[in-house]
Amino acid sequence: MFRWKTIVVFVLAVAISAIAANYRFGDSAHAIGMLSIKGGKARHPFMITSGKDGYTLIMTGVVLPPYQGDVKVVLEGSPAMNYAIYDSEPVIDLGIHRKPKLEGSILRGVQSRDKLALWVVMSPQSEQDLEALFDESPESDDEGLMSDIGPAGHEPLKLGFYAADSGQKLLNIPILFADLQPEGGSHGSHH
Amino acid sequence: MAPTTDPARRGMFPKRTVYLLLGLALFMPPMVLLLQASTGDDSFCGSWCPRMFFLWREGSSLSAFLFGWLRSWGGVLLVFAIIVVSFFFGRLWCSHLCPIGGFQELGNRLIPNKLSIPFGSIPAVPVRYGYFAVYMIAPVIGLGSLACNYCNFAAVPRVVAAGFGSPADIAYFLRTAGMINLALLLLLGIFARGGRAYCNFLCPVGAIDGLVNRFSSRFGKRVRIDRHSCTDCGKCVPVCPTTSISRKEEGHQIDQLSCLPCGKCQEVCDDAAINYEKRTCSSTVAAQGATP
Repeated sequence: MFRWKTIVVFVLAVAISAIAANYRFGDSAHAIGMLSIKGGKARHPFMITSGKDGYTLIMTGVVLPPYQGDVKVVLEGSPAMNYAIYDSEPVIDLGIHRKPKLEGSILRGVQSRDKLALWVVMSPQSEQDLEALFDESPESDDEGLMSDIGPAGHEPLKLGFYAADSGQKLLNIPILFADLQPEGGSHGSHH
Repeated sequence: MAPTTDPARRGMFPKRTVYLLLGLALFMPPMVLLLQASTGDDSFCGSWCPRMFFLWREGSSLSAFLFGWLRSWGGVLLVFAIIVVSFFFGRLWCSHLCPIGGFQELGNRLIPNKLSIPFGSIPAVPVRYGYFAVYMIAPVIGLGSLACNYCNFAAVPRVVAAGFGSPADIAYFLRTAGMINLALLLLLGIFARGGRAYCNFLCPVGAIDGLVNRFSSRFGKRVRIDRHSCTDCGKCVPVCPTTSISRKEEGHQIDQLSCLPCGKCQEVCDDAAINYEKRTCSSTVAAQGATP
């Protein structure tokens, strides 16, 4: 009897955990990127679901040599979003390690091999019909990652990192609406 | 048998609260002393993670996987140190230093016992290892990931930092996953009787630690019941935060898959029958993963 109860509980735990592991909430996403003077590379895009009141994006990344300098971080493209960017800092900073500091939309004092962790809280500016915007969306590229998937005739939504002084692109991470993507364009994972 | 009169025996680890507070200072906001001093991170969710470095991620190359281990040296070192300590001394990390378990347990001490939720009727071991199996396998087969989505290592420091007004940490909870993590922290942590239900059911480090604790129990020090001294009064059963003690045909036994050497059982044992020690003749009977 005891053994049967153990087996049933174990199977239930596996089933519920598997559902939990597979389920995506759609209002938050994580992406990992590498900033570089060659334009950078995102391991996968942010994947969110349309129709939410607000979203939270978590970006972690590393700065590849030889880049160093200030970095401008912007959320750009369509649909337009209200947004705020935060970096994660110790409540009491002991000042043992140097870290780039976010001032407005500029990361100050970024150096090669710095590790970044940024939080973007965003909400749609208007209740435009996202599905209509995406009706004539172009197809994704072969990997479906750094593609131009976006509302027809609009720049796709993305989190962009640029050299603050020259405007040179360091990294773009696409923000994709998983439920509005064509087949094959919904790669990636999110938290 | 007469109750013990030796105050030194009451409480195997009288300074455990001090150790738990030390763990909070080392790993938790507002100080995060160890992380700030080593990696420069302000939480477990910075450039390293004590739980995720060993996961194979969908699309990972072998080099990226191995590089992840190297990059996460802090996590690797910490987990191996935990395993070595558990081998010889039992789950001292979980009971004495873990900032996540410590925060939940200390928080639970502020909650009246009648408001605490008892989880003793749910068998912890199959829940824990069912969850742990999916935790390890799901990323490998591309099913998804439990890590981060349901992670008290991420949620607990952020609760504290959010309390200090940190916008990034407040942002963590402005989403469904953050709210679920907050609910898990409250239900399985602070409002769970003993404050250790999350450790007992869902913590992957605790799952690894429990296996080491169980299968190396003959080699190291563990909390054990002295068969000759035990009167089977059962006082130790309800105080165990991980519901590790149960009554068997042979008498009361401690399940080393779940036991933390917190010493609460010894504190209530009037017969001095519970000790933190190496295996002795009077405590050598082992049955089905349990030791007396």
